[in-house]
Amino acid sequence: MIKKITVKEPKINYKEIYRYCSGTDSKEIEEIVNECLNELNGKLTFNVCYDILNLDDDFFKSLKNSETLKIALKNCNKALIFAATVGTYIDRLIIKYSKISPVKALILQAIGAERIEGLCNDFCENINSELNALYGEKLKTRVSPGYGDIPINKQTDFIAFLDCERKLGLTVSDKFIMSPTKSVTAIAGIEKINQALKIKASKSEKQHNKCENCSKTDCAFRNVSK
Amino acid sequence: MELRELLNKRFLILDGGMGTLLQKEGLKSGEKPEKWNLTHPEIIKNIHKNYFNSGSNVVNTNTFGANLINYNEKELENIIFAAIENAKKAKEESTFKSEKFISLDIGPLGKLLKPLGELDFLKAVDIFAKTVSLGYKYGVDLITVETMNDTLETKAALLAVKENSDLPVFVTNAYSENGNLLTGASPKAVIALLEGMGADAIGVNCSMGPEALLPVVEQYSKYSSLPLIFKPNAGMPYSENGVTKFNVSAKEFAKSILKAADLGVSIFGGCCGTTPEYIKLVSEEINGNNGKNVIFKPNTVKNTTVISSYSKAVDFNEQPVLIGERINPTGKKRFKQALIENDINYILAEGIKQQECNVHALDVNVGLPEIDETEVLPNAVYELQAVTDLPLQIDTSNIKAMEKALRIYNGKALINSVNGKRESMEQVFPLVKKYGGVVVCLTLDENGIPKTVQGRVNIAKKIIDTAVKYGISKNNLLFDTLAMAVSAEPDAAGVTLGALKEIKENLKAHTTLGVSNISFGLPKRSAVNAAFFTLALYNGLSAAIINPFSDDILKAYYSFLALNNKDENFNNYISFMTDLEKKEKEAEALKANTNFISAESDISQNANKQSVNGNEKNQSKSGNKEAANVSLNKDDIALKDAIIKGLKEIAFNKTKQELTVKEPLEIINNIIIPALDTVGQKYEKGEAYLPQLLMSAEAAKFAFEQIKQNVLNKNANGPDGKNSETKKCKIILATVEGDIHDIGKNIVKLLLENYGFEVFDLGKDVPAETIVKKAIEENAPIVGLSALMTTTVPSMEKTIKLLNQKLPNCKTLVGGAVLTEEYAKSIKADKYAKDAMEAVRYADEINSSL
Repeated sequence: MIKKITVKEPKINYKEIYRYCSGTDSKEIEEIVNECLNELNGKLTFNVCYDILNLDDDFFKSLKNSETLKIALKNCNKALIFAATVGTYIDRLIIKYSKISPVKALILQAIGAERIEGLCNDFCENINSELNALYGEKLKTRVSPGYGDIPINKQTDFIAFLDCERKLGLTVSDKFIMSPTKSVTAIAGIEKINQALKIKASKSEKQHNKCENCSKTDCAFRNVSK
Repeated sequence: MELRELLNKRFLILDGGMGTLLQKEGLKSGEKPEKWNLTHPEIIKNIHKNYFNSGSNVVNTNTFGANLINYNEKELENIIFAAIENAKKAKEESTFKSEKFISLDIGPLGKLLKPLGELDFLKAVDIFAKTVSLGYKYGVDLITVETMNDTLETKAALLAVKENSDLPVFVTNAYSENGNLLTGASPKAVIALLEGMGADAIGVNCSMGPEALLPVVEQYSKYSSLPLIFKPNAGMPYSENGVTKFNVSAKEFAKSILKAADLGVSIFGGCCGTTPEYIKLVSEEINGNNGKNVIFKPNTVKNTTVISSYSKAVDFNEQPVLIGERINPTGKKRFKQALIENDINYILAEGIKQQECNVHALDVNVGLPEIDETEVLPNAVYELQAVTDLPLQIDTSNIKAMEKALRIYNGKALINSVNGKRESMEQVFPLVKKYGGVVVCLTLDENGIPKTVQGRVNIAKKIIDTAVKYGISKNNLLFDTLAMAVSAEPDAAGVTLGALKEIKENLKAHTTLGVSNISFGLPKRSAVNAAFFTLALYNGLSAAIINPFSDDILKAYYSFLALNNKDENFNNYISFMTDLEKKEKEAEALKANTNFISAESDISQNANKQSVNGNEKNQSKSGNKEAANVSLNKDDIALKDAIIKGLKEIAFNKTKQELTVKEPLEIINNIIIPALDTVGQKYEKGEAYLPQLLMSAEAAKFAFEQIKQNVLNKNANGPDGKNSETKKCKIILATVEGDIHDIGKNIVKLLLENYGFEVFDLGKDVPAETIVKKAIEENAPIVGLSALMTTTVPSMEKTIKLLNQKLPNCKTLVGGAVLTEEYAKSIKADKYAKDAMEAVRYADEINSSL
C-alpha cells in the first residue's frame, strides 16, 4: 500500500551546501547561504510517498537486467521504493534569482540539493529504525533511476506507481526531468540484520556514502573518502 | 430538469472513488485506469450503476487521465466514447429514482506547466480542448475539472471547457496539509480565478479526510458566492492483512461531510477510498427523515473585489491597494532602452524592487512605438509571474495585446482600462467576462472628460449598466475619476475627489487613481502628490497607482492607515519608518562620500591645469588616478576591491562617484575589467570558488548598470552606455530543447556580458530551429549551448548539426554537467568549456580572430 508521510525538517548541513555550489565556507558565501535559507524558511515541504514491495512484484520486472540494482538488492527479498520532494517554492526562487542574481540561484540550487538529500537520508533512517525494531531488518543503500545502469526512463514508472502527481504534485517530463526539480525517486533493498552483519556494513556509511558504489568516477560531485 | 437550474436550489450528490474500486477489481498500481473503459466495460458500468443506485445525481466518467499526453488521438477518442457509453448504460439500467447526470471527468495532465515545468500553457489548453470536445461530441451533461493542484493548469482546463462547450462546469482543487495548493495558491486566490472565469460550481476534493479539509471549505464559504462542492477522501489509507483500507468509516464520513452543509455547501461526494456505501449514507442523511437531517442552506453572495496571482489574493475590501507604476516606459530612458533591447531582466528587476517596497500589485505597461506590444506584453507578464507573486495590472490600449496577456495570466488580473466610450466597452468587456479580472474604468466617454462631478458619475453609471449586460458585476469594476493637472485646471482636484466620493458612497463601487498626474507642471511634485493622495484616501479611494520609491507617498499611506485604525499596533507604520530612517542614513553617508570625491576632483583638475610641458592627456589621466587613489584610500573600499569582494551596492555607488572624475571607458578598462580578471585568474588557479567568481561578476554588472544610466542621461556614446570600441562579438546562448536547467547558462551569460560580448539569451528548453534562426539573423560567430541531462544532449547534437548546415562558420561552445571533452567532440561541438571562465577565454579567442 502506498503511504504518504511528512518528515521532520532535516538538520542543515552547511558543508554539503558548499560542496554542491563548488564553494567554500567564506564569510561572504555563508552570508548569502543564510539569506537564502531565511527566504526559504518554512516554505519547503518534506513529503515522501513510499511502498514496500516483494522483489517478485511486477514493478521489478522491467528492472531485472540492471547490475546496479542486483548489487543494491543482494540478499534482499523486499525493497522500499519511494519518491520525495521539497516542493515547488525553491524552484520559484531559483527561477527568480536566475534572472537577477545568478550567485543566489547557484546557492539555492545547492541548498535544494542538500535539502532533498537530507530528506531522503532522514526518511531512510526512520524506515530503517522501524524495520530494525519491528522485523529485525535493515535498509541497504538507496539507488535511483539514472544511477549506474538503472535507466533514467524508469523515473516515469516510479512516479506512476507511487501516484506521485496526486500525492506529492510530483511530475516527470518527456526527458525524465522531475518537477519540482528538488525531488528524488529511489529504491533501497531490505535485508535481514544477520545477513547485513556478514557483509560488515554500518547503516550510516550505507545511507550517506553512495558515491563509493557509483561507477561514474568522473562526476564533479563525487564524494569519496580517500 | 437542467442541471444549472438545480444548482444552489437543492442538494446534489456526486459519486465516490473510482480508482479504489478498480484496484479491488485487479487494476495494478501504475496501470492506466481509462483503458478499462474498453477492456472491462461491465466493471466500469456497474461501478457507475452502483453509485446511481446509492443516490448519486452525478457520476463522473472514468476519464481522469484521458488526454493527449497519455493517449494518442485515436485511443483517446475510443476511450472517451466508451467511458461515456458505460456511464449512459449505467444511467439507463439504474432504477433509483432521482435526477441523474453524467459528467466528463478531467484530471490533471501529470506535467507541471512552465515556468515550473516544461509544458506550455497554451499547449495545455489545446490538450484539454481535445478531451472536452470529444466529451461534448459524445454527449455528457456537464464537465468536472478535478484534483487540480496548480492554478495555471486549472485555468487551462477551465478555459478549454469554456471555449469548446456550453456545458455547466464544476471545478474542484486538491489542497495540501497547509491549506494551500501544492503550487502555493491560497483558497481565496483559487476562488478569485475560478469565479472570474465563470465556473458553475467550485470546491475541494481528494487530499485528506472530511474533518481535515473543513478549514479549506470554510474559506470557500467565506469568500465564494458560487454553489460549493465537497468531495474529500475517506481519510488516510492503511494496510490490514495486505488490504488497503481507509481510516474514516462510511458512517463517520457521512456525518463529517455534512457539517459543511451549514457552511453553504450543497454538492457532496467522495474521493479516494469512498465507495457506493459511503455515498448511500450521505444520500440517506440528506434525504432521510423527510430531508430534516440536514438543512439545505444555499451559498450566499459575497460582495468581494479580489485580484490574484498564482498564489496570492488581494482584496480591495481590506485596505487601500497600492499598485506600483514603475513598469512603464513613459519618461524613462533606461526603461525604454531595456524594452527596445528586449532586456527582460531589467524589467523584472524593476518589478522586484517595487515588491520590496510592499506594493500589493504591479502595473505592467510596455507600450512603445518601436516594439510589438502583442508579443512583448504577454512575455513581460509571463516573465514577471515567474519572479513575483504579486498580482499584475495589465495596462494597454492595444486590445490584442490585452487578450494575449490575459489569456496566459496565472490568476485574476487587474485590467487597465476601459472607458465610457461604446467602442472601448465593446472591446474590453468580453475579455473581462471570458478571462475574469477587475477592470479599471476611466470616467470619460465620446464627449471627453466631464468637467463636473455629476458628469463623471453619470459615465460611471453608464459603465456599470453596460457591464451588467455582459454579465460583469459591479464588484469587478474599479472607477478612475481621473486626476488632472491642477496647474492647468485649478478646480481639477475638487472634481476628481467629488466624483470619487460619490461613486464610493452612492454607487457603492470601488475607485482608483493615478495619483501623480495631479501635480504636473508644479515644482516639488511629491509634496502635492502626497497631500492629494491623503485627500483621496479620505474620500474613499480603494486603490492607487503610485511610485513606490516616493517616500512622501508611502509616508502619507502609512500615516493614513495608522490614523484610521487600519494598522494594528502601528506595526506597518513603525516598520516603514524604521526602514526609512535606515535608508536616509545610508543616503547621507553616500552624499558625504560624493561631496568628498567632488572636492578631490577639483584638486586633480587644478593640478592638471598647472601642468605646462607634459602630455596633457596622460597628465590628466594620472592626475585623476591619484585623486581617485587618495579618495579611495580615505574611503572604506575602492571600486576595484568592491568588485573583487562582490559587494554590489558599494560597486554601484562607487561607480557613480568614479563617473564624476573619470570617463566611462576609463572605468571599464582600468578598474572593472582588471577586477574581473583578478578574480577570474584566482578562480582558474583554484584560489577562488564559483560563488566568489559570481559575486564579483554581479558586482561588476551593477557597476555597468550605473555606467549605462549615466551615459543615457548624458545621451553620449552608444545606446548601451558603452563605447562601441569595447563591444565584442555577438554570442547566442541557450539551454537546449527539453532541458529546463539554466543556472550554468546564466552564469556564462553574466561573465560574457561583463567582458563586453553582445549576448542574446534565448532562455531554456529552446528548439534547435529557434537557435539556428537567431544565429542566422544576428550572423553570430559563436553559439553557446547548455545541457544538464544525458537525455537532453541529443537536442544539443541536433542543434549543432543544424547549425553546421545552415551557418557553417559559426562556432559552437558547449557546457553542462553531463558533458565531457570527449562527449563534446562526439557531438561535433567546436569547444567544450568546463566552466564559465573557460567559455570567456574561448569567446575572446574567437573574437580576436574575427
